[in-house]
Amino acid sequence: MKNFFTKYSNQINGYIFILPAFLIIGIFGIFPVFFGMYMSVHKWKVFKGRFLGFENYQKILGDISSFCLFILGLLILIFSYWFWSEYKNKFKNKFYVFLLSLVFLIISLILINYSWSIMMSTGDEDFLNSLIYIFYYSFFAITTEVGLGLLIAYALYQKLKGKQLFQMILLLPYITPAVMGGAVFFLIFGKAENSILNEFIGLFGYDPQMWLFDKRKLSEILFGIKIDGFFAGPSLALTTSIFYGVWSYTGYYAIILLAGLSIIPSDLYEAAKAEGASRWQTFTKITVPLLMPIIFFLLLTGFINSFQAFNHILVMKTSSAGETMDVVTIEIFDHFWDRVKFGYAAAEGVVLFIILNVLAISQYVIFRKRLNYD
Amino acid sequence: MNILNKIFFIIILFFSSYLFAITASDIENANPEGQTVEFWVQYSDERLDAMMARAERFEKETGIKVNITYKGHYGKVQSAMMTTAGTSDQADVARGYGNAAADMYQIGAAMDQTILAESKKWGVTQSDIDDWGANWTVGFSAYFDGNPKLLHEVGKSLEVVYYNKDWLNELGLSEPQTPAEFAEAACAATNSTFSGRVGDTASLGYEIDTDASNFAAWVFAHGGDVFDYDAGQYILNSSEAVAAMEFIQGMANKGCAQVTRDKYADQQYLGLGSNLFALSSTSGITYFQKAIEEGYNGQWEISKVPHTTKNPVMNLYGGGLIMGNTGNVDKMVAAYQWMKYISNTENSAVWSTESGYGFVRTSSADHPLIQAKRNELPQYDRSLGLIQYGKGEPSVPAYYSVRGEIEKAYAAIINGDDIMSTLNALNDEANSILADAIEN
Repeated sequence: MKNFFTKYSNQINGYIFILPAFLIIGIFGIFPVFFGMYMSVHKWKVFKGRFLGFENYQKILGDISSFCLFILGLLILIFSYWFWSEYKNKFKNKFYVFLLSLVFLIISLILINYSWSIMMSTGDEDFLNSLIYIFYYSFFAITTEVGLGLLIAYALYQKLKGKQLFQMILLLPYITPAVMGGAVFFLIFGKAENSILNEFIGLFGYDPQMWLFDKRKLSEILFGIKIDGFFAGPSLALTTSIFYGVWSYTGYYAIILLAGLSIIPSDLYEAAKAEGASRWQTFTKITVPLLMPIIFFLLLTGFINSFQAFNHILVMKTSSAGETMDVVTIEIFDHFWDRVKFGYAAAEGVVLFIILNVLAISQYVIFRKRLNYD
Repeated sequence: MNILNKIFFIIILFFSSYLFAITASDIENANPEGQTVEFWVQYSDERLDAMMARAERFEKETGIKVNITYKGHYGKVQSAMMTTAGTSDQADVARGYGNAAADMYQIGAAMDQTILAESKKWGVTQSDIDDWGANWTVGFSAYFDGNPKLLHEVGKSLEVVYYNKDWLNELGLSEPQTPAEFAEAACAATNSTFSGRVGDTASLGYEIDTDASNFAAWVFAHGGDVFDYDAGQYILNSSEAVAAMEFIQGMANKGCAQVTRDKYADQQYLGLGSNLFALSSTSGITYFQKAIEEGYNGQWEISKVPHTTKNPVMNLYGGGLIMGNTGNVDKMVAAYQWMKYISNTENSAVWSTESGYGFVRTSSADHPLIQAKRNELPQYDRSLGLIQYGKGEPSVPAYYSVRGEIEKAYAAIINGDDIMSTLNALNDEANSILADAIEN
């Protein structure tokens, strides 16, 4: 026995050190996931009811096999990109690689479209729409936040007076409680003619807008096209909540990107300057590629986090916006708290969990080659 | 599980239900003194302070402590009660409506109060019940077998029209009696400016709080209902509901009515003299009074909701007290004494003057405070006279969720969506929510 402890003392010490973290993550991180899965296969209204099997999932997705097809479609979509990026330089004739990737892409799009339309016609339309709304939210919010954050970080990286003050100001929206910030945005984006924003745009001769009270889609507002479905875009009300996300997180991303900029060797910039590179060329050829690991990290975590956006949307949502602000977390919350359908809400959570995992895989595949400085 | 195990399990269940069920004799032998009653409410600010002061007096008189906790609006109180069902965290008493009580009762989060009411030692007398009158019987829920008493009424309020009397006089119009007259006045106001207006906000006839109670009030006023108790189904697409929405949308299309800008904006802008009408609860009477006094500071009035029926039909809220199913007899009896205390003649009268809610005891009408308030605030006096026209919203499970759907559909109709298709979709959704709620 003594020999055993002596022989494996390093490993045992290691396990002892990770034990507290393992227990905390296990109890508060992993157990709830499995318990949620357990709840999702039961009728659960405060108290555990009868075993339902996949009944809740069938109500949500209409047809579970369609959901599996949908996930398969997403995976093939990722695979098509992976196939192209992996093999395009390994074969002399890129055309066949391209053709094969295109075939995979078309197959994936057909599968996604086909399975989604079946789910929409047979499943819980409100929940499925809520997935589209959160996709809009995440896509527009995160790309804008990281893009703007990068520009701000680059500007702050120059020799500026009062740089630290700017950094502090940038962090203020991030540390503002979401409920408070949401309430202030609710006042700014009110539909009253004398709301702050309507007064402001009135100075430039624009008519007052309904903002958070407007359920019209952006495609209709901007281009006058009334279309339904995914390509209609978010409503003006949801777009307003995206503004909140951008206001809240851009500064935070800028600070992280600024930290990233500081580790780029300065001799690269000096060499570029000596070669006569413009600022834009320096930015696109040096800054962005070398920041790619950080950008990737921010996009990945940001996308997953924003899929769980909740507090400010709950505060900002109005009845006039109809369902268009009911993103997936709001939908799950409503089913859990208002309708006391614990099992159903848990099943919705599991579906979201699966989709988030696929998104994480896809982002990893897309960005994996840009994760290092090679 | 083999057959012997099954029989054994059933026997244990049978005996344990007798062993742990609370009997009338348990109630009689209970000792409420020294107990602490948890009371969850939706009151805030002055009302919460007033209720806390009452709890202190109650503790001095009876030795029963009452912890009053503000839980947010009615929906939050309901959620808190339902999600703590079966745990020691649940409140002994909570504020809520009949539909919330039904939801809670269905999952065992609320108890039938009959056993406590019938107790010789701790219950209520026949003369008390007579004094409560209809306010006593309304707490029973015929929706369930055995007609359990789920709600103990402590106050009531009505959805009424608040209006700027000075402005209506300036327009040369009298108090609207029908929806058509209401629409005419709303449009006349929208196209004019009140002489006493404070600020420069554009005039508006009617700013609509798209709450489900507002929707129900207009449907009632058009002779309809939102729930058919015989069929056990929602009827949110009835011809009366369609007529009510045509009336509302008609005003909105002309720019004479719109969805409320912010929470309580209807009250705020009526106070500033830029809105002519608002539809709201009589429990908010003191808030309207304050907004007007701090705003245009002129004459104002409350009235029945203009109707197409022979007599007015007005939306009556009967928020009451729901008892949590805590299983502790001493605490249950203590909680019931508190419920009786705050609804006795004296407290019912005092609470009515403090909160703006109508009193629930007939004998409270003669209380000096009530008499004084009637003289001091004629609008309050008028509101008491309108209670006779009251009709309640459905006390059925899942109505809270349905209210959220009504709110969205109502706003959509005001903003121009097709009435019939919106109401049809709403009705389908409401009945699907109901079916889902009662499904085992």
